[in-house]
Amino acid sequence: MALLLALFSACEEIFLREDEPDTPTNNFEIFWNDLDQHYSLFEVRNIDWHNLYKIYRPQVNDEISSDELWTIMTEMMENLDDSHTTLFDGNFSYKAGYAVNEQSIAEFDGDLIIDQYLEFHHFVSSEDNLSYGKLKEKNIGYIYLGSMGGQKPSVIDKIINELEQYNAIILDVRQNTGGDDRYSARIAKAFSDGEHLIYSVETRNGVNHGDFDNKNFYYSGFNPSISYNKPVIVLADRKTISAGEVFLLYMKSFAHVTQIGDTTAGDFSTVSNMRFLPNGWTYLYSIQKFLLPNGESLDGIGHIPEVYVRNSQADINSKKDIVLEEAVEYLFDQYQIE
Amino acid sequence: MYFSETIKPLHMKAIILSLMLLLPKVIHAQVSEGYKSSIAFNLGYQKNYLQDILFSPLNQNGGGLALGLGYERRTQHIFGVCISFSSGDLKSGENDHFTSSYINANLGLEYLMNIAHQSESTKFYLGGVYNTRVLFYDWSDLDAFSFTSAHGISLKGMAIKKINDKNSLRTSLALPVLQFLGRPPYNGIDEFIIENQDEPAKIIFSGNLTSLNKYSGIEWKLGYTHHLSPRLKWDIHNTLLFQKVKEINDSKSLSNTISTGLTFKL
Repeated sequence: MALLLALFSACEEIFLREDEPDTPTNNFEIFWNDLDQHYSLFEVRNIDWHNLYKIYRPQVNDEISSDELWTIMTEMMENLDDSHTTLFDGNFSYKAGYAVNEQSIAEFDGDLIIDQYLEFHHFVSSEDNLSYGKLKEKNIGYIYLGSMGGQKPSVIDKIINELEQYNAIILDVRQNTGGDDRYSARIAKAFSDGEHLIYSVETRNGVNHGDFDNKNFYYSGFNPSISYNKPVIVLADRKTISAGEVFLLYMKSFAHVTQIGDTTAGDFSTVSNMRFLPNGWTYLYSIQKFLLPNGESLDGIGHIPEVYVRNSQADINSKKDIVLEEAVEYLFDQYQIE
Repeated sequence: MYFSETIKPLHMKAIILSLMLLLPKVIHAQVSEGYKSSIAFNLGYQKNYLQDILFSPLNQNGGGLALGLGYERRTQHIFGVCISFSSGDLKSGENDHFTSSYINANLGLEYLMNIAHQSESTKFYLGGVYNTRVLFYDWSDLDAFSFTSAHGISLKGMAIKKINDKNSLRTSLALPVLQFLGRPPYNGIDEFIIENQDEPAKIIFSGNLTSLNKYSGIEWKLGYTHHLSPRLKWDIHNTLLFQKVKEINDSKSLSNTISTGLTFKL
């Protein structure tokens, strides 16, 4: 048996190549090449990845520190402006183009809405971040959906049953950082006005930047017996991301839905599996492109609201949510609902 | 969408395990010298070395407990079914920074024909084996995952050398010739995987028919058997398995299992 073990060790040497060296240049090369061969949005976002190599590669040599390598790689990533492209060093993470999304955190306060604007409010305990209620002294229902990571999206039908009596619903997806696109589709179905082609998805499947598999088409679901077709205002902000934005793809295809707030992040794709570097860092990136029925992409653009409005820090400090107030005003101006 | 947030982390492992455990009578392809029908149980340790560019540029190595269960019916020829399962950790990166988990499962069904003109003490067999092999590994509850599943036919040869009335040696070599091969897509995830993430068996058992141009491997077994009583034998054996998938994202795996167990006459 000892002989077998020795033989086995020899086999390992023969069959497997040497492990990747942990040097700054090799870590950079693995990272750059991996994205070059697998990242999906170079063309959609008009990124010249090879030119970025020419800019950043000369800054890397085997003498630089780990911090310096981190700075070079994150600066290169920032050109992608895609928060799905993330680098982790085990303690910290860096999301490309995420700084502007993070600013919106200070522009939203869920407790403020509950305290100042809602007559009643219920959390749905089975879901990740779902609650609903009614606006004070208004004939308007309110739903907050902060994640698409729940397990039972059909619970929305029960909520709609309760809110059906009101003349409008404000559906708040600010700070919704995504989850499962199927969850988004199921929630949207409760507001659907028919079966529409919503979007298509292609996954990168080759070494060339333009290599993608066949389109998969996605349609809105529709159940006329459980569908809220009165006016719906969707509130979104810069931190409405990913499956949160896919939700808006559905909602904005319905005639009775209006988006108010800020432009969304513009990051739609499914992220890759976690990727590994010899120095212990990990990273993720986008591997798909989502296209509208007309062939255009909102990646890097986001959903632009019909009515643009943002809270300032001063608004939040003075216990006001002017985005929500704008939605109420819009419902009165457009539909005489109050 | 964040795939890793939504996939059920334990489903993939549970399905693989269930598929293997729910299969009816399982048998091990070890030769039960002198027994017409026998059942065998084995316990051991499996060591794995793995390279899968789709999963990581880093080499993986590690091991875990290995279990085997088998049934064999032997007349002039040998019919056998076996199931084996191993689960453990794989380390990679500088100072084994990353730890992934793996499952390596195999179901084999074989028929080996006795080749004529042989001596009393040495017998030779040649035949075919059907195998379903699944090697699945993931990091941090499916934040990263990959797999190789191969279902197909191998050619197998085996020799048994009877040392004396109580002891014997055997060795076998199997070479896959035609496989239904399942691997993740180019980017690890695609719409098919996303849509079927709640049905991992559907993902693992989808694939394409392939031959030596894309999938190659070799399985070599060496074992020693000692008769403890007329109805009971003790054996120790070593199984070396090498698998290679040749595609844009190459993968290679080398596993070695040392195990021991008992064979009961039925």
